Amino acid sequence: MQAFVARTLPRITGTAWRLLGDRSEAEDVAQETYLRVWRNAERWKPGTARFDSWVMRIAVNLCYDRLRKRREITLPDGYDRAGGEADADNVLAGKDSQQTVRAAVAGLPERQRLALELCHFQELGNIEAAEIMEVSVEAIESLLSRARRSLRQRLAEDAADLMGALARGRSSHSPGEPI
Amino acid sequence: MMDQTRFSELVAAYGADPKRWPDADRPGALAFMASQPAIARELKADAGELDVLLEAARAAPPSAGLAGQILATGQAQTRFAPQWARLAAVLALSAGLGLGWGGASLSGGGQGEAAYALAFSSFSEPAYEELVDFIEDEVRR
Repeated sequence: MQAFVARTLPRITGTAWRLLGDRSEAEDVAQETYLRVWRNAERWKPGTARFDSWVMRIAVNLCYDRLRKRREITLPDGYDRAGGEADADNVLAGKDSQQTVRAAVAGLPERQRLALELCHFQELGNIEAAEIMEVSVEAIESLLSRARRSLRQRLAEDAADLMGALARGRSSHSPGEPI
Repeated sequence: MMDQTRFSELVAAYGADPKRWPDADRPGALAFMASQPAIARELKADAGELDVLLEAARAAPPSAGLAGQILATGQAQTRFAPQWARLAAVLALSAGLGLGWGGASLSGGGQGEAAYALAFSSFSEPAYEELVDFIEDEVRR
């Protein structure tokens, strides 16, 4: 079981942080995910999604629930956040290169952000990502294409500076805070 | 072999690193790279730059101690697990001892229980096997 948690926990917290943008909430989601796994494991059916995908699906649904509640509480009717573009633009004006890239990713619409987290950062296969998101592999590819195109556009102006800053950062690398 | 259009789509979606390409596409894409290296290099250039930038946006690992908290909570929960967990542990143990469906049928054989037996005897899923082992250990305590 320790091996199972060790393997799946970084995926769950990484995905939750990507969707929620908050370390504390991401860890709450992880704890709630495992509770649900222990309480509802009998609901998983072999021959459908992989067990790991099923666990990730629980985590993603918990994140969506939280995002939905946030929107209900904080945003007026009819407001379309459009993936937080305003937030991303604000941080893009900053000088911290890591923050700039993170903000650009945070500015993507939720589903593009999730596809990118699963396929790019966690290096899951397109089939597993499709299971987790309950979409087709074609839809995953479309989400990824749109995400990367948007990021290229968003980061294009600063790409050369960012590449240089990140290269310098790697040469004097210090580990970031845990999420 | 993959054509240029598909190679371009692949790189646009999954980036320049072949390890992220879908298994079904990777052989064809590698063949395209081998046969058209200059075109492939050009198509991969922008995507490769974005791959480098994205490394800055990688999530940091979870807090130290979170895994321990989760396991402790799981142990506490499992001690009060519903009947299905105990049943599942028995069925898993039966399967492990080679009793299989014969062992499973000792536990009742209702339709619901048969479904649990099917679920919990699927040892092709390592993660699930680990979960069953965990439940079994906790139920024995």
